[in-house]
Amino acid sequence: MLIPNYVPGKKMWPPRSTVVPLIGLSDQTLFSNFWGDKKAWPVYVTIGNILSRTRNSPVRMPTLLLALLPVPPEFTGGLARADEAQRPRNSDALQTVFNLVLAP
Amino acid sequence: MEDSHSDYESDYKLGLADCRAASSGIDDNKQNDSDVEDVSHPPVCGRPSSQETISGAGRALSDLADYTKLNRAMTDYPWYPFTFEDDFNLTSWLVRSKVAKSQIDGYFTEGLGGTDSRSFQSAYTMQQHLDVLDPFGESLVWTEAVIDDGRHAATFYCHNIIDCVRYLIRQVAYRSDVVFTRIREYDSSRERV
Repeated sequence: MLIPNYVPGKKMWPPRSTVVPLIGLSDQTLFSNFWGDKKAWPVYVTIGNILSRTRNSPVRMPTLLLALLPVPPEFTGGLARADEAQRPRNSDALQTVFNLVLAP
Repeated sequence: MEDSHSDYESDYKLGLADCRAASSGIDDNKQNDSDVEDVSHPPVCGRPSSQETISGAGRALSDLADYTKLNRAMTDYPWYPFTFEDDFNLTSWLVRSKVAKSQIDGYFTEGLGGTDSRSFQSAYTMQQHLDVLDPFGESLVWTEAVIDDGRHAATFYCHNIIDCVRYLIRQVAYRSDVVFTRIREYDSSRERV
């Protein structure tokens, strides 16, 4: 629920309003059966208003695919320096994507 | 992101963000929930040093005026857009069995589909029925976006998160399992979940 001038910690919900907690899920997914070693980073979303018996049920499909994260260009080689350079780039990319996707 | 080989591993910034979110959430619990268990455990990362104001938030998204009408229509025509229960069951089986479109077309071409009274006679018309079956499905449109750090541009695809929430909270299939106030859930061994 979007509240005007919301301040965390203050109880200021309008009457008859409902809080909708967002729950995000993500994990690296391999498409080994289709495209060799191709990987994807799907982000799923569900809401806390759905009781856990349904929310956690794989057959009732209570989660939606919210986004497919971009694959940042990789630095070549397995050197520690390359890893150090890769991490902030991945972090920045991820933060930018979530800023866009979760913008109210 | 449990895989230690993930390209998104060890993201310390995200860790901080999670902690901030967690701490603000716990503050909210203190304010609105008398649960002693929650109050007695302070957030690991402490309170955020500043408060955040989200401008422009709070507007009503929509009402649920059509909810009753929708439910009544589903009661009066339970197999809509299919004419009969058999058509629905056949479609359900074809989808669950992952039958290819060409095979579905072949099924009807060879006359295995039975009489002309069926709601559909091809994979295409069956898909049209399935599109009607989910009245909110068309609201979930993919958006293509680009992030550019000045050196590299990367494309990604996403849904509008408000549409996702609206889709989930209006799902008739979850009607009996949707709550609009805070509750505590317990499993069969009386453990809180």
